[in-house]
Amino acid sequence: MESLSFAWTIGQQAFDPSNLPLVFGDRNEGHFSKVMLLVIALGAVSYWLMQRGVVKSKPMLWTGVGLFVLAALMSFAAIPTDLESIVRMCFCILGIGGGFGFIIAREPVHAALGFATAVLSTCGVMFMQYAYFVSAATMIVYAGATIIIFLFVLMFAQQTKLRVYDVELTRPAVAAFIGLSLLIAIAWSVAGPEEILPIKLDLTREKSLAARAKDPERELPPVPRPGITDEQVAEFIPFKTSGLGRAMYTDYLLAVELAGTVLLVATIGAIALAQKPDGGAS
Amino acid sequence: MSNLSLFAWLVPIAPLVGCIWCAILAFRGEAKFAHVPAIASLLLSALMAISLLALGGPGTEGYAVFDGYRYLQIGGMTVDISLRIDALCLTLLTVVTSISAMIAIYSKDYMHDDPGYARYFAVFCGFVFSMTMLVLSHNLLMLYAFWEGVGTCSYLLIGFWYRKPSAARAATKAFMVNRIADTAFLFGILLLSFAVGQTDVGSGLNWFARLDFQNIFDAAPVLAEKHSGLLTTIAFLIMIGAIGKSAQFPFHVWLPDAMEGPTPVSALIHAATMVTAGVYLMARMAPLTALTPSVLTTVAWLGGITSLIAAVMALYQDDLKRVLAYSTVSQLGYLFMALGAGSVKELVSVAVVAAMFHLVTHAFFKALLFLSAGNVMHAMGDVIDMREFGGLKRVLPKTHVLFAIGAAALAGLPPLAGFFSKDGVLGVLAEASSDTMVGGHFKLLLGVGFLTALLTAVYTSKAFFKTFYGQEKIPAAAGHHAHEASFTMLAPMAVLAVGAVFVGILLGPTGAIANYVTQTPGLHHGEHSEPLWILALSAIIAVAGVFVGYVLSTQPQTANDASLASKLAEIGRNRLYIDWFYNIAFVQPLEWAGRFLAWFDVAVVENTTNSIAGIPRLVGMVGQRVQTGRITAYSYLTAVGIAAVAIWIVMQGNW
Amino acid sequence: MNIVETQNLLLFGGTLFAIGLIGFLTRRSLILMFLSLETMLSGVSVNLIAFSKLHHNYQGQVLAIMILTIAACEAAIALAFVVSLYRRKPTLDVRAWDELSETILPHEQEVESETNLPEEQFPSLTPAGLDPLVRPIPSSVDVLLHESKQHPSASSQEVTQRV
Repeated sequence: MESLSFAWTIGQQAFDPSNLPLVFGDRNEGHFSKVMLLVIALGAVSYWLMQRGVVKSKPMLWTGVGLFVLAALMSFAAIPTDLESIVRMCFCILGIGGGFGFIIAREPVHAALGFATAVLSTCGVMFMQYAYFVSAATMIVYAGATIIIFLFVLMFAQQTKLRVYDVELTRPAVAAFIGLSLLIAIAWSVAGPEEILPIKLDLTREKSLAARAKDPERELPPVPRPGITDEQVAEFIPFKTSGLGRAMYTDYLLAVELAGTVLLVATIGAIALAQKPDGGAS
Repeated sequence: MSNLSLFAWLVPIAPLVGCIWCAILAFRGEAKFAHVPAIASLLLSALMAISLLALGGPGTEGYAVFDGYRYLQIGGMTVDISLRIDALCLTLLTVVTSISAMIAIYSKDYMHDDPGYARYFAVFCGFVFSMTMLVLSHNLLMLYAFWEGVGTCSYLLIGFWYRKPSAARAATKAFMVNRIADTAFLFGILLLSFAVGQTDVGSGLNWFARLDFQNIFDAAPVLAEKHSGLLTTIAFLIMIGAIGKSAQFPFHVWLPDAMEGPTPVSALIHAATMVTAGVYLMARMAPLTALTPSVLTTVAWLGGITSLIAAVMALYQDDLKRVLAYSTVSQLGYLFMALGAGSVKELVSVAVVAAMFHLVTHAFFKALLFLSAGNVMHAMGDVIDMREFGGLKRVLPKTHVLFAIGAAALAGLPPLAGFFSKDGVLGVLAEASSDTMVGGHFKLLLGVGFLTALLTAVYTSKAFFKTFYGQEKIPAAAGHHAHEASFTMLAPMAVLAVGAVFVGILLGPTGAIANYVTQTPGLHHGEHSEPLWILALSAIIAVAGVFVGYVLSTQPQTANDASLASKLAEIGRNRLYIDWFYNIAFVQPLEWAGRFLAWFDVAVVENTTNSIAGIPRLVGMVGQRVQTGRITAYSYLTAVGIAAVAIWIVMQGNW
Repeated sequence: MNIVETQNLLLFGGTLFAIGLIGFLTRRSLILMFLSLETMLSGVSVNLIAFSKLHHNYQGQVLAIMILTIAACEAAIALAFVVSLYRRKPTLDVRAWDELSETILPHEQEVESETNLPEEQFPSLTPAGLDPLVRPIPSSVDVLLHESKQHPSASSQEVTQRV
């Protein structure tokens, strides 16, 4: 991973955001490109067309797909042109495409496939953010266990026939409008660069600091103390799984233990809920 | 004196205990022996009253006040319940209690098998309690309170068979007419309290104590000097109260309808006791009214008019009880004429004596007459229309004799009681007619008195002969009842008959009652003797009237006759259209207004209220539409809320 | 660039969240609704990982793991729910479960009760006098008035009714 960090450092120096060719928007650092708003709008329209098309007519469906492709291509214009960004954007588009497929599919199994695609794309994105353990865990739990359970329940409850409640959607236009307004609000909220603090101090690190005092060789995030420079801080990339493990079991131990307790309770609850009414174990 | 106090308190308390006992029996449904506590308490009360009389009453002072029970004390005002006895009060008290006891014994057999047996005796004793407390009260306001109590018991007893619509209506009518008169009475009382407070006698007393009779009598001369107009107004208002209770014109309309009640009730209340409360009030307030001659003249005129028109109306009635009711009204008119003669200053005591004498004798023979009518009614199976029966002399011999005694007393045949007392009234009228100022009025009233005496004799004998003589006719409803009354019913009537025969001779010419009643403070002894020509003339009138009545009773009924006499009969039968006038002038407009208000209440007020009350329901119905129970709908609402909150936060601009 | 990358990733997470929300609102099948919930959670995870990269610490990743854990618990319990609901009604339709809805009751009419009392036999008096509710206008008075004006002594042929 040191090569990637090296690439990252190089990339940071090589690609100054102010030099990027932007299709729309001002050349302010970190300013949110307005093209993304258009992308969002196009995406909503494409969703609506696709789900109408699935029910009503094929041409509508293909129009929606075409609009989606157009929006995807437009979104490529808002990112800097380096490999990492392009790959990341591909993953994003794949994930969103899978999400769309998930929510407009007729067959439930197709919907499951779309879901799996979306989840795997998110795993890819997370992998690129140096969150290796998290992406692996996500793959295992979501794309693995959840899909399997879903398929089991589908077979238990539905066999193979297509039911009306799989096909019909409840007021998709209103839902699309709600989603669109929510997305615009989110987009607006991430628009202002000055409101995202680039350096945030990790304030709950007493235990890891104490551990580091015992063993100075360990890889730990830098302590905010006077004299440290931003570059030194920026140099640190949290990519080691062992670092994650150490942070979890020292700084966030309480949370981890509670999560374990919740898992236990959920297991017992699931078994209790799923029992047959006359008391027999299912 | 404690003996006297005990006796005096026992007189009202015994009927009260009887009333409560019978009420408890009524509620528990054990009515079989309800007459026992009633009769026992009434006999005790009568015994106490007679012993009070025999023990010389209040002694030399003229009156005595026995304190009882502090009813209220608010600030400086105390309301006490005390008893005041003096000669006037004891006279009436004896009459009331003894006649009540007799009628209670009579009612035992008359009302047996009635479902409301215990209730009857409870209200009966309650009535006697209120009446005795009224007579014994020491304060005008306390008298007013028991005045209302007597009216209430009268209402309950007239409407005894409350399921019968005519009885309920009659009871309401009686109560309403009394209420109207009592409102004027109350105004008079309040004005009197105010007026007494103006004088130095009463200025230091609290509002309630000003109305003590002694204080009123003390303050009256002062008031007559300074505020004679106010005093006249007060006396006028009190007169209206007396007229309402004693059924004089124009408040007489309730008494004939009050015959809807059981006959013993008619005998007690509407002959002997309650209707005499008005006369008692006027007699009690004699020291006050003596100072307002104009009011007394009005009283006399009202009494005269009443006695005449009541006698005319009685002539044309077919119903035996109604004849007796109208004759009661007529005789009460006599009493008021006698009281009114007190407008001549020196005749006040004589007027009161004459009125009280006639009141006592009238109580005896009228009660006797009503009880006899009750015998007839009981024997004829609750039929009392004189056209339905006749010639009952053979069937009811003892009742025939007793009715004859009562009728003779009423007609004024010598030497029975009515002769002497009616003569007393006519005599005082004749004396008043020789006065210079108001003599003219009383000459006319004397003529009215003689005419009424004639008519009284006519209708009394007509009723008597129609009932007991002629062809024997028994209605079909009689069935097995057509036999003589039982001993329990006849014995009290015999006692009353003895009284009707002998009370007149014993009290009147001997001057016993005159001497006794004038012992009351406020009245003074006076020498008075009857002019002989009045005695003779009234005897002749009585005999002539009996003869005319006999002739009238034997005449066959002419149904469709267009002669003037028949038209007069028509008017008389319709009670001179006074009731009709009251109905269209007062009752119908009030009913119309009531119907309008009822419509208004239902259509406008209730609808508005219901509409306002329906608003939460509408709001709820709107809210109910949201609760569809579907998860999808709920999640939509949640999502809308989330989106709205998110947008709002973003639009804030600040974190 | 850091900022742009972070912004894009935040937008991607938001989009996944919105997609999951739309799916939850529109879908009628119970398991597909549940899968949309999972999509929403994964969008949140992406958001957290982006912030972790931006702030150069492990906070976001640890929280993402917690979310994952909770998602797993939720999955278990939700599917147990689905199974037990399926046992009651053999359908996966969410519209089948609307028993919490308000039923609109009709307005209750007031009940008026009538009491019937048995008729007793009462003694009766002869009706004396005019009942003004029955005979509002006394004809004999009219006749008398008319007669007194014209011929005081003439006898009318009218029959006077007994009241």
